[in-house]
Amino acid sequence: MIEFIEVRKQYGAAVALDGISLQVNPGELCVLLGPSGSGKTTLMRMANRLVEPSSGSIRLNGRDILAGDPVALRRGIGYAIQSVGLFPHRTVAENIATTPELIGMPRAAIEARVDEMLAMMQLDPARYRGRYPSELSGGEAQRVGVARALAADPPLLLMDEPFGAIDPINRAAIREQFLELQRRLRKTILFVSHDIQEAIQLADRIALLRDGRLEQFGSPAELIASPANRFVEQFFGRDRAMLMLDALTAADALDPAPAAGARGSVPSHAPLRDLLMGLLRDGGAGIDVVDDGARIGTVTLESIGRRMGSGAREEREA
Amino acid sequence: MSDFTGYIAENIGMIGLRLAEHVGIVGLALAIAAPVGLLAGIALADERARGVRGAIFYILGLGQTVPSLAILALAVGVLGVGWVPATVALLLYAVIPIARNSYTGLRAVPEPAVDAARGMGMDRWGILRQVELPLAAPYIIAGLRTATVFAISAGALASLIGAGGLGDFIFTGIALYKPEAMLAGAIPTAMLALAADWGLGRIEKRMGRWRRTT
Amino acid sequence: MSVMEFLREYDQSLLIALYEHLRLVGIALLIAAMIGIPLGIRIARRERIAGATLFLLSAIQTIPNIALFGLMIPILAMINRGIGPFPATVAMVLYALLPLTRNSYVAIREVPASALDAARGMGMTERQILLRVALPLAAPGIIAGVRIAAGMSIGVAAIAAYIGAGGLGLFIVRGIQTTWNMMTIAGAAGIALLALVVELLLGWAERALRPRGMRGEEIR
Repeated sequence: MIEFIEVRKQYGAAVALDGISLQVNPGELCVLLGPSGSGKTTLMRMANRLVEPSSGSIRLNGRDILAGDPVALRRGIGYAIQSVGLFPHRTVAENIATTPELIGMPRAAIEARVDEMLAMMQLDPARYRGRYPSELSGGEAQRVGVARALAADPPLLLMDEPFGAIDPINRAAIREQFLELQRRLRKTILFVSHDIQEAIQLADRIALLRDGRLEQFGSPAELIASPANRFVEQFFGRDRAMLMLDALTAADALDPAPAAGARGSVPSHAPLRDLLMGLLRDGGAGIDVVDDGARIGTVTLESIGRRMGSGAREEREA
Repeated sequence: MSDFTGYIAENIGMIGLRLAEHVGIVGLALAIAAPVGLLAGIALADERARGVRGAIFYILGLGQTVPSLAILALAVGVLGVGWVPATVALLLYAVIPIARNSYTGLRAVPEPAVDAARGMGMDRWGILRQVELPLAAPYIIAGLRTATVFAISAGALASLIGAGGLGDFIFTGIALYKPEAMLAGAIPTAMLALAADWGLGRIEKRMGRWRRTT
Repeated sequence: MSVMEFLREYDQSLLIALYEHLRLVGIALLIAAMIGIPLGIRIARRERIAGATLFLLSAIQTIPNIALFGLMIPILAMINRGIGPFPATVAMVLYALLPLTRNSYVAIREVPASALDAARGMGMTERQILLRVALPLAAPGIIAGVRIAAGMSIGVAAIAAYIGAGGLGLFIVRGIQTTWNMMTIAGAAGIALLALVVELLLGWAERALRPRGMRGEEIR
């Protein structure tokens, strides 16, 4: 639903983006991944016209966003950046209410929405509404930033390393919560990151960029198992097998036949790595995969091995 | 125009005299204010002054708000007319920015440098002389620069209380409505101030040469 | 004559002088603020013009006030406006421009860039960004500029008495001319008190305008 067509950006003689074309489907979380200077932030900022392309076009739901009023465009897109950019002179509630106010939502609806957003971010509204940004920890501030971006319920979200300033210990937990949220809300998201783990964990598809060029665009598993070129192959380094386990979920290693002695139940989006660890640790025969109360298959050591094996075979053939 | 150049030519001696008077008062005031201000700044920067610092700076700040003419007039009330009250008033005015900037400069000295000096066995005065003052120098010079401009400015008013100086020409010009006289006083005063500001500004920059971001 | 007698005798003159003084300062500050504050905000984005503008204003400020009078009166005399409140006001406006412009410039530049970027990204118009984010955060700095400018203007207005502009400076002028210390001190004390009161009031306003979230100085 957001489409970049041969987008190019030049600053004088320097080329920041060299003809990028990609399409992100509705409800998809697309991670723009790459080393610094790869152009990922520039590309993201084109989606709400904070940066204008030198050439090429960008379509949102089929409409050319380069025609028309950028301000109106931005009010319909959520924007969450690494430095958060909370307004220091306004309370948490006032910060979150910013976009709803800009689009003219009625007061009562705004108040309700603020509470809803805070609760969604696991921040107790009663305690956080009246606080000022200077009174928040790094993690809390970042969560308020995301709440602010979601407040007007925009269909598209732009996020630039939104979890960057959170300490590593809490970062994993926040990512997990965010993923949970995304499963529920199914927003279309352009997410800039330089962190491989983060990209693999969060992305439906990854756009790997280098020096302004799109090196490969596909699911995390595709990029790891079937790299399009040497750069992509080396980008994911040597722990490719382990990364594959992160990229794959229970749904990728299902054995339809029930296994005797299978225990426990996990949803189909459970990461394969955790399941493998569980099976190795308990020596179990298998783990059932259950979606909406119905068993759809079982994960066993064999089924995992088969899936990883086929991946390895693809690698050797490539 | 020719009236003006004629006037200058006629009165060149007097202009020179007034200039000398002006520089004299300013120089004397600064000569006293500089060491006093510096010492005050050093004293305030000392840890032991922590408690009184806020109060003292508040008073100094207020003192600086009072217009120079008022201070000159008050000095006259106490000390009569002449160059003595003028110098005292200028002195009082000049001390404040020097003290303030010296304080700021000393506080801006990077802690690791002082620490290293202490570790190498320098005593209090040695550290002050060899480490703190050189590093605080640009700030101190900045304070001196502000003080000098203030003093030159107030010095121009000193003629009102009988201390002479270039202000004489200006006020005579105003009283008698002689533009040539006004300019004869105003231009040298302005140039004196601009030159002093520029000159001290150059010194300030040269002293700040080695203050890269530490 | 004792102090009380003096005050009783001259109470009207003092009040009139005070009024004239305040009027001079007020008008000059108003004009200077209307020029200086928008100017400071405008040049905050343009580094090159900012440097040149501030340098020029700074040079004007370095020139001692009476020298500025001395330079301007002959010029203004050519259009027959050489004495009275007019040249005084012009000089005060020129003087007040530097603190007003520079403080506004610095205050706007200190607004955290991330907050401005977020505001733009969320779809605020330039005007909304200025009114809702930039100005509230820059307000204390701008008021500080007004405070400094006011203090300076009070001082310059005092001297303006010499060119017929009235104000409390008149007491000093006459006091010195007649060597009547009481009168001189009355003028000086009046000006000093006025300066202090204005300083305290505006200092209080500056603190009051500091947005509640910013007392702790941490910016995210």
